[in-house]
Amino acid sequence: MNTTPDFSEAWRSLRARAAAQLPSDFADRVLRTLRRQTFSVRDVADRFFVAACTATACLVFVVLVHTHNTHKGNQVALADWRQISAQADSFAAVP
Amino acid sequence: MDITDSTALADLVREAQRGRDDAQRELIGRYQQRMAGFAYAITGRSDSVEDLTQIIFIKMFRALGRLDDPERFEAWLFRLARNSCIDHLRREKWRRFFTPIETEHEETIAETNAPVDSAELDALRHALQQLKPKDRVLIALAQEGRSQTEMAAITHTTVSAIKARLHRAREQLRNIYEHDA
Repeated sequence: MNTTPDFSEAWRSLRARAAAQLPSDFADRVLRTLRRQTFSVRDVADRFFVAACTATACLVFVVLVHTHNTHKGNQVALADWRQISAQADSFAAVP
Repeated sequence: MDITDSTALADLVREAQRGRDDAQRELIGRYQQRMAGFAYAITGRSDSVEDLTQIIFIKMFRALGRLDDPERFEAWLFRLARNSCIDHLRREKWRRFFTPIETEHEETIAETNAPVDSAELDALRHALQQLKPKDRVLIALAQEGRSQTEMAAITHTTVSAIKARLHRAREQLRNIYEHDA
């Protein structure tokens, strides 16, 4: 693809004008910004990880408490049922 | 770019992919002027050149690890630059929609009164601004020496469509430029 001859000088001026907008330490600035943003992304990732761990721990705790309470409730209901069943058997045995 | 240059560039890209600071710095140094010129040709505003060029390089480093073929680095970089410029123009369009007319007018004055611009540069900048952004992209890519096949890949279209659009855009640019200059 050839440069259109009529514009070549103007294009050079355009590039020079654009290049003049960049500071002399442009590369350093870009790399600094990149590192800073990478770190902030890591911070967000770390926070997300901590939040996810906390949420998981809470969920496990809730499940354990629920399982424990359900088991305890079942035990009580079973004991009651056994008692009722024993009483029913004893009534049935009365002539 | 000859084969030796192209191999050296691919090696440099690989080093930058490994996170080597000096390679990354050299990569920026090699392309910063071209990226700035590309961004300026598309946006037409010198005050956004530095920010936009920085955005292009930051996006480049974030995505560099996913570039499988370092030999195709340049075409890949220009695709990324093109997308960044189009995104920028889109954002600007929305920003202007919510900006009061007086502020927008002040911004325009600030750009046209920029110092030491030649008549040719003014005419070219004005002519570019009369084109559609996608046509400006094609003209800028052609000026950067991209082939029509690469342009087709960059803009997700066919080579024949690129030929037609580029021809039309050049004619339009030439007419406006010659009228202004």
